[in-house]
Amino acid sequence: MSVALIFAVLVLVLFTGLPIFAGLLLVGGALLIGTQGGLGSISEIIYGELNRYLLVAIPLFAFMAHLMIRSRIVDDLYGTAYTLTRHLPGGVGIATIAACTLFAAISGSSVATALTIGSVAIPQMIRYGFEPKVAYGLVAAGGTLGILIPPSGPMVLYGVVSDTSIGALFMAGIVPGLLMAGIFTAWIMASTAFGRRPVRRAPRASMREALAALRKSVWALSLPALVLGGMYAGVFTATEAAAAGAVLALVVGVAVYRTLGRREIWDSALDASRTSAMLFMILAGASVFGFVLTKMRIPHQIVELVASMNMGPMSFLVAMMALLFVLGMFLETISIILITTPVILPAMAHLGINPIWYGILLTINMELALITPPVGMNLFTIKAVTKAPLGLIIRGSAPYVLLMILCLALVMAFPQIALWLPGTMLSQR
Amino acid sequence: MQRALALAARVLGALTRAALAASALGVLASLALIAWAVTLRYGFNRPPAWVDDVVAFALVGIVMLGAADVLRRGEHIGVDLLTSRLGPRARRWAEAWAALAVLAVSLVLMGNGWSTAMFSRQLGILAEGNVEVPVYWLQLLLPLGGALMGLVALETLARLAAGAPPVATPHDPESPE
Repeated sequence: MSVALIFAVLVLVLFTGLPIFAGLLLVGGALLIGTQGGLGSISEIIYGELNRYLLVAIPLFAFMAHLMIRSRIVDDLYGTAYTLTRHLPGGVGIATIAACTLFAAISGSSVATALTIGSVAIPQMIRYGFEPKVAYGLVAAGGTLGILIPPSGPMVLYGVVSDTSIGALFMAGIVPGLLMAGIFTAWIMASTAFGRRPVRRAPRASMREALAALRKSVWALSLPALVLGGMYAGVFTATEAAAAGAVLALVVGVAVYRTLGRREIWDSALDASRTSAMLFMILAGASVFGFVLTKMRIPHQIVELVASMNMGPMSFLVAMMALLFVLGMFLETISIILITTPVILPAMAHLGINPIWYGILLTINMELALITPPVGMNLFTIKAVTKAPLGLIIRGSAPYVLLMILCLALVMAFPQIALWLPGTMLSQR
Repeated sequence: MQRALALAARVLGALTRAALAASALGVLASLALIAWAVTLRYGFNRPPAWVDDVVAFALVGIVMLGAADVLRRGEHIGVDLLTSRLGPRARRWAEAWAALAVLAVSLVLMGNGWSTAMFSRQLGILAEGNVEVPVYWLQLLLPLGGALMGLVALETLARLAAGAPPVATPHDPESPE
């Protein structure tokens, strides 16, 4: 059975609306029966995939994010960003991008970033004269930074599946994440300055005001400093950094903000369990599907195909990025990462493609998937927050799709944008 | 029929909530253990070797015990691009198909998971690493999670057959929760 046929059947099954984990297990199970005559050790594969210390980072990062959301720290983050940027052209929009960038360094989730920042920032942006569709598009796109700027759930999963250092992946996401935030900021400033609709600007904050705003969000900023600084310095593994971040989030929420009680902590733990169960059931399904594909030597066939076509690393990457972009329009990001990565790893090794670099390109492409219709989680999130028509949100996000493709092209052309920081981290050890 | 559904919803709601609570305790316990291990390593230069293994075991429980509650809330990710455009009747068929698929997967987890665990027990296989517990204890989490999801899938099918909404979400007015 050809690769194309297997994937076509999988996509068809998934489009019938069943949970993705069930679709992966059904197709994987059917292939196992077809090729081996039975289900064999299917539960052992799942058990082996879930029983991994590295993966524990995900429930802990999820717990940290849910604590932060419940402690209402985001109001201070947004307030600080606004105080510092309000005098610039499109200042309130820039504040939104800055708040998305900072919150991305706490939450590790794009949907959580768009949801949390969106509810605070969108009304504010519209009040200052932004067209609603511009405000919707900006938050939908800004929210996607959640998975590129570490910590990042999808990066943890990619790191585990591809056996790549999660710490190095996190470091590799920082510069491209800041680059993308910079590109978004430049776009807001330019489109506000030359746009047809005037956007109000507030007077520049005094030094005293700016310092007071920074002081207010010092606790929020200490979280990414602890998590990323700890990993960069080699003090923590990714899982330990997640635990350290969660402990600090608990201390900040309980003792500093005094917004977290027993109820909020317990609800955050329940939410973290749900998030983990949802993600890891897909991982369980993908592990069975990937096992069968490996048994059928499909990754090997892809290597042979790439070799026979005389494909170079760059043409392979361009083809992969185009494929991922198309998949991203229809499928959810975690499934794409878990389904495609094991299949193409041998081809990547054959072509000498750095898996950290590829991980960042993959993540940027998955950010695109979050705002490209018809299936774009951040588009749906903004719709849920604002009740605006989906078409308006899609139109507002369109310029950011192009800006993200530009960022993707830059990281493809200049791998050092992603690889420089992890390189310095490893050279210091 | 409505009374039976309400009773089933109440019992199953309590079961899945209890399982989710155990899963959440797993998250909190993992956090406490890792924080403790880091403190011992840097504070007392005595890192406990078994913590990494125990939190990895706990993750299997966190997932398998949390999955049924997520299913009951209809929060497992799926592609609803086509099914969301269907009419009410066709959509109920699509929902029944999804529940049947989950039921099939649950049966596999129960049957295959149980026989794998019993095989490990028969051979006396211990978990690899620093914590040498019988591996079948942990492998039994798979059929347990499968059984819980299977019950939720059966409830969904029964609700669909009775003309009630498929998932007993907290917002569902027909749900007794």
